[in-house]
Amino acid sequence: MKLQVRRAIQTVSLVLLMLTTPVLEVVAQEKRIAYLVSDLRIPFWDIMARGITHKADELGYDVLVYSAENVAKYELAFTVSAIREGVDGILISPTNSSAAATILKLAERANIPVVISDIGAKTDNYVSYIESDNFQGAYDLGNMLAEALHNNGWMNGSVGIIAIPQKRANGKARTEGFLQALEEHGVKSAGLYQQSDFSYRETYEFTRRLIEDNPILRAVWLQGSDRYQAALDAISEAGRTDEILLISFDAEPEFVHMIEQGTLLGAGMQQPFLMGEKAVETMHRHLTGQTVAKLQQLPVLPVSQDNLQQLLPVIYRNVLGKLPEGN
Amino acid sequence: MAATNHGAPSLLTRTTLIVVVVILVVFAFHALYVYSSERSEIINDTELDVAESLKRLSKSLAPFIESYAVNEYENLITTEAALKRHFAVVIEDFEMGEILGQPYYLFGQLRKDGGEYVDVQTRDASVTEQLNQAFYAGSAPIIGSSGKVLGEVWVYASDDVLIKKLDKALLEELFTVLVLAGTLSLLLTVILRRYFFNSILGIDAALKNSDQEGIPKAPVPSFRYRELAVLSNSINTMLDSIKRSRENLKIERRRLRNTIIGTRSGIWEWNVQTGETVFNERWAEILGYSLEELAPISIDTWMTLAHPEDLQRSSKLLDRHFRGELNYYECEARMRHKNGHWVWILDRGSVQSWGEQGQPLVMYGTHQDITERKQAEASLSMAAGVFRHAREGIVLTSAEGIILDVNSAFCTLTGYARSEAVNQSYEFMLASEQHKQGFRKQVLSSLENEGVWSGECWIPCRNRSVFPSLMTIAAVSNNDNEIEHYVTLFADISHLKQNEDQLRQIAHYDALTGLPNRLLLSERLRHAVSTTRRHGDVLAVVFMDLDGFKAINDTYGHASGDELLIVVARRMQAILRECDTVARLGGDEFVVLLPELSSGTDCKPILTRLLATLSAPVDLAEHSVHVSASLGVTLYPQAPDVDAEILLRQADMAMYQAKQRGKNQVRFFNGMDTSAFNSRLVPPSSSDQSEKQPG
Repeated sequence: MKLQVRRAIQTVSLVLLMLTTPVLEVVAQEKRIAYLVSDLRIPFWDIMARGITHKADELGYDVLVYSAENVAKYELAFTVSAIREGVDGILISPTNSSAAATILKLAERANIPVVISDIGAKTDNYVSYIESDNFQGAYDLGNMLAEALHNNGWMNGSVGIIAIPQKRANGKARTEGFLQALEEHGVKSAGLYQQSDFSYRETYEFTRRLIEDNPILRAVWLQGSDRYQAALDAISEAGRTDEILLISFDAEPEFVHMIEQGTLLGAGMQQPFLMGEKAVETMHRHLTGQTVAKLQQLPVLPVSQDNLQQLLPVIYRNVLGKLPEGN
Repeated sequence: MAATNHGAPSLLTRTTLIVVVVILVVFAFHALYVYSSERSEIINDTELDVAESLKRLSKSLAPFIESYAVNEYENLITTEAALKRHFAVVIEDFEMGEILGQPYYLFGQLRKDGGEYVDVQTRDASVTEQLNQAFYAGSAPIIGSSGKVLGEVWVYASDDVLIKKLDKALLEELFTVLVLAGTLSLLLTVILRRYFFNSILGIDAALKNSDQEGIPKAPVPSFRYRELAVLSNSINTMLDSIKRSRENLKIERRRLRNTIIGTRSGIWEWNVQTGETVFNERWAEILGYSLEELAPISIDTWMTLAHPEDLQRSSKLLDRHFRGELNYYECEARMRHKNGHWVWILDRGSVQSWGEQGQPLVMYGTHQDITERKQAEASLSMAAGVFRHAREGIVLTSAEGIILDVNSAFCTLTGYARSEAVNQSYEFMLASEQHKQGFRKQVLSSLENEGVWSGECWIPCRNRSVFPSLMTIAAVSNNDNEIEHYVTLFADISHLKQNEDQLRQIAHYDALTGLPNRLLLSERLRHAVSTTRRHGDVLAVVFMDLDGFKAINDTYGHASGDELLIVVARRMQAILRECDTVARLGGDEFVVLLPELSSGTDCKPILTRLLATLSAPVDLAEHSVHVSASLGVTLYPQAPDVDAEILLRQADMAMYQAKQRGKNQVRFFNGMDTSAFNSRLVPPSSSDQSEKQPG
């Protein structure tokens, strides 16, 4: 709730800023960096923004956060604004990789270095690109699921996949890693549906079809976490709650509880807070003349009942962006 | 002639070169056409490409501009430029420009000389200058979904692409031309050599395998392919035709040669326009020359040797032939023989080649030696003249004895018209009853054996009379000695016969008394001697001389004497037998021959009658006179050497004795050296007696 309120405030502020003044100084410091994010209303970005601001504070950077509300015009306008503000560096989590290219071009014209966090760009005129290791994360989830199926004696069962668009690099990497693990364990795939509008109905329908079309379906894997409820509902309405496992990439705050309860077998959790911090740290290193890797992959946490408790502090901080009191 | 012209160009090479040139020319034109078409097409395509790109971009860019997907439409621009190889594609994004605070946000792709594209971000002078060099440019507004103009897109096309494309097209076409020309030429050469020239060489080889006259020994082989098979068949058909023609030509030539040789014709060929003339050897041979001797040969050769008169006539005939008045030229002319005499030749010919204006070009003809014919004609002419004008009758008869013709003299002599005689059998000519038996057989035998008969023949006349003729019948035979016809020539000898009778009368009879004269007496005496010797009877020869005749002659004149002699002759003739002969030797001397006597005494009565009748008075015209006669008689046979003359002398001697003994008496010869005869011939009772007649 706190995040949502804050996200809303920032969004409104930024919109007003875009319309009235070139930039709204969040923190008035000598070195400024801008963070252009597609939409802070999405928790993942919000958590990442917090990681950025947290780390910027640590390193003494003034951060201008621009949330485009997933509107390209805003994103470009904020880019222009940031450039006009004369920021020293730009961190971007663009609406898409294509938009990232434009932002990079504008920044390049203004001779401003850019670090990309999570969403890749179709060009290479950036300082560094930071992303989750989607392949490894998916692979770990595959292994986790296979182990569960084995433990339940369902190795003959199949696994259905509801995927994010496979044209995205992260989607493709997740599918490959997951399928590789299933293949290594001899688990059959029941098919794959790609999300397009990311709606509840869409995920529900895909789940229902998987159940209907595959009588031996024993698990559904969601490559995105936001519509997990639709999948749970479809399984439940099929009367197969105890027969079909649900496992997800990404994480929602309620996943901790769900994994604890067994409603969710497990989740591959990205670490947006950590990514934000890593972005600022990378920009700092670049601005200070240090060498940075062009590509930096951060691990995805494979969380199950088995390691939930162990990873819980990391999950709270790096995944959910909840810092301990006093930080 | 089978000469091979090694210097002649090769048909294969020439054909190949022509084909190569043709292919090159054709493909060059094709290349030019393709180049031109390609150029127009490329320009058109360029314009179309620009237009299409503009149309496509203006539509597809709008959503991106509206959604501010700058990178997307930049990618689109980049893709479009690269894909279509435009010289440049530029977009002016008014929406983005608004965000940037500029009239527009500009992005473009400009192709550099190396072919790589570079981004265009501003319209600076350098970019503008480059864009202005574009071969073709076009722009289109970018209209948003609400109708708002969101920007403008520019597409530029350069001619370097055009040039490169055209160069490439030209090179490709050139390469294609060269490859095709080379391939086609090679292919054509192989095909021509394989299917055509080898076949031609095969035909050539077959044709070269020829006999001495250049005619192939074997037919041209047949070929697999229809056209060559047709050619082969045509050549073989032609060869067969040539062979047949050659055989026919040989036959014709042999016939012509044999005809020329057989007819012994001289032949000539005369180029009327140039005077050039060709003769054969016979032409010269007729004149006693060889062609070599007459060289140089020309029409002047003929003109020099021809008789001037005949040459003139020949020229007139030639002119008529040239004018078309005569279908052919024919002239009998004389030519001077090498030996100097004239030779008649029959000159014949006709123009065989005429000029376009109808002028004679070449004339061909023959010479034939007709000298013999001309001579024969002359002979015939003379014969005809003889036939017509001869006074002798002439009858031409076929070998079968049918009268073919008679001349006018025949008609005159016999009274027969020609039409009455012609086609009649010749038999009637020999059928006169005057002829002795066997006359016809004799004539035919002579004709058969000797081919001629000559003699006297009685010719029957239309008035059933006959006349004597001297006739010659000659058989006329051909070269095979076969009788073709007979020629009868006869002359009327009636007057000759009459003259002959008259002469015979004059020669053998006394003109005064009409009694046989001494000559006839001699003949009859020799005949009587011969007959007597043959028959074995007796001949008495009486020599008689009138007694007293001289006195009468002197007294009364010669006329009276002659008259007396005539009377005496008549009296003697009256008393003598038919077989007896009384002849007057001259004056008053007579000889009487008494043949066919059985003995010497058988003549006594006759002698007695003679003395009586001669001594009887004779009444002359004015006087009556009286004479007597002295008779000397000799008998025959006698010695073998006693002939007629001796008998006459014996009788004369006996008559002389009678004269001596008194006249008017008979004395038999009892010669001194012929006593044997006297004793035997002269009856003893009368050997010394002589009858003395009064007078």
